[in-house]
Amino acid sequence: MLRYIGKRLVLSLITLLVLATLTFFLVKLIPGNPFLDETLPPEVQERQAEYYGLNKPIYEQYFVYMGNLLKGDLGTSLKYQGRLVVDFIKEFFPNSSKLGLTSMIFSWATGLLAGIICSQFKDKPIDYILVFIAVLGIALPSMVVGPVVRYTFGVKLGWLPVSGLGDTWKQFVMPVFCMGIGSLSGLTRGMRATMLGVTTEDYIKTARSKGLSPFQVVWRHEIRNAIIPMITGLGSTIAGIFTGSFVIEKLFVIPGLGKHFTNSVTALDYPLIMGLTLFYGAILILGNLLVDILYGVVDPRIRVS
Amino acid sequence: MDKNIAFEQNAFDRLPPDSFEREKIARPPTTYAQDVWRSFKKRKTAVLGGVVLILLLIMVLIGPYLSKYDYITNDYTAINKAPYGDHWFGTDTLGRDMWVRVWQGGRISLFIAVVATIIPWAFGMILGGLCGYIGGKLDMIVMRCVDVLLGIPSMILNILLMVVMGAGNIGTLIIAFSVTGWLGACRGTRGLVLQLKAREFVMASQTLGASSSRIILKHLLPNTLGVTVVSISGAIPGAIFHEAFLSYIGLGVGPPNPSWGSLIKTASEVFKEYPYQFAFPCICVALTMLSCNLLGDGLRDALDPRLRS
Repeated sequence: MLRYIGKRLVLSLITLLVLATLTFFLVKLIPGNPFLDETLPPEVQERQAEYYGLNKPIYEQYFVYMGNLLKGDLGTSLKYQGRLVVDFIKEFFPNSSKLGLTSMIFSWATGLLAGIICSQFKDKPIDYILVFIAVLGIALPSMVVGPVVRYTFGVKLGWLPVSGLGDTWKQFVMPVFCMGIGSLSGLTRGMRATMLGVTTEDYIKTARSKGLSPFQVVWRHEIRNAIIPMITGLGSTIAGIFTGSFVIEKLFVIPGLGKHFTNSVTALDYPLIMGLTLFYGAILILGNLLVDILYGVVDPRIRVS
Repeated sequence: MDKNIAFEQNAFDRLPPDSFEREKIARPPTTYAQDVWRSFKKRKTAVLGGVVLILLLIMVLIGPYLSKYDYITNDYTAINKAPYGDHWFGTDTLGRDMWVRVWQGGRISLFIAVVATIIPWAFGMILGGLCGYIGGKLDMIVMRCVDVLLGIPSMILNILLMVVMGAGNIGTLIIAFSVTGWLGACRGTRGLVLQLKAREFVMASQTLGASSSRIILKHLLPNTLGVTVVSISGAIPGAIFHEAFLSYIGLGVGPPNPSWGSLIKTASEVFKEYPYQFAFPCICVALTMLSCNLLGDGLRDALDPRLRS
């Protein structure tokens, strides 16, 4: 087990390093220079370049950059002068993560439950209805669902607040639904398929012939074994939630990191874009690491191979 | 138990040797393609998905020519008009015809999705196939790189590349998708080739003295095709979604070119006032993704006998 975790950890660290290096060199490729202003005398430009270390050879800049990253310095925003990228993260990430975690729990609980219901009532009307909804949910991206839901329940019916986060629980309902619907649908279909696959296994026959009640067979043997392969889907759920947050936070005017990311793209605030991208990348890589470890804990077969 | 089992009088007579005609082949043998087509036809949803997709493709190809307007000319006398007269889908906030823009946007979206799926897949398949077949150092080096690069979320890498290369260009979108798209194909094909290489029919072929190129072309390639088609039919809606997402956050197709994603983005800003501008591109995206998924499910069942239930 330790060996397995160690291997995963090393791979994740290398991936992080590659991501950081890529970001650095890609930023260097962006044409233009922030201090290229013809009205400034060359001496001033030189001073600025020196101050920001831009006149040093590129490998030295690279080491400075990596050192700063280790210290948690992701750079300074261009648009909001003097504000560190880290401050943005500190201020706005809590909102995003609250929203993200809620919609993750929502999509997993509902998705798995719907999948189990489908598998128990295979080829019955309820199965068809749920599978149909799931197929629709996969086909409708959050930027389509979002505006429609917001207009219908927020503006037209007036049941739910259309913007903000943190005042009442009602503000969570629509964003969480819109962000979760995609992975919910995928999970429903995945859980249905694995549940149906598990039913034909020998240990289910054994459990039945022992005389266990149908409920116990489903609860203790089928569901437990069917959930294991679903854990690999956790990584893509996390990625999907982040993608969703860029769209949904902007749409529902939620003061989160996703909204700032989308805005920084429009404002061409390169340091902020790069810093946030790196931050998101690191979180996703760490998330995947945790998922891998969790998978190894739950399924001993994985550790060996 | 019933003890009085009655036998027919001739039950123990010897049968004539030919009575079963067991050497006769009852019906003409089915080829793989016929078999696939037969089981594909059985799934009505998949056929429906295929038909809808073909209809959409036809509309995307001929749609812009059916209208007398083009997708770029502004008409300031007709701004934000709901569908009327010659403007079958109405006009947008700049007085451009929505019908033409929706189909032109579809052209761009679908072109990006298809090209940005096929190119990296072809590359990944070739590289992965080589790695699996040759093995050794090449395999080790390439697979370690793939491991690391697959660890970086593709969305993050796409965003980075689009920021650096400059948004708004169709070519850069295809490049960005290609950089991330080949990884999965490479790993998948390698695994498949490794599996197939150990199978008996390959060994038989080798024993009979077949050359490497014959084994690759005749045995390995045809056997990977099914899985590849299925994966590609899953990757195309993914690419459509990614394009729409990038366009939505402002890193995708730039003006004046429309794409479904950018049309949705522009229209969602005026959704309350002019819902029709939002509805048409959304319906197109949803229909495309839906039919791609249905078609993909049908293809998977039809092409891969092991997955057939």
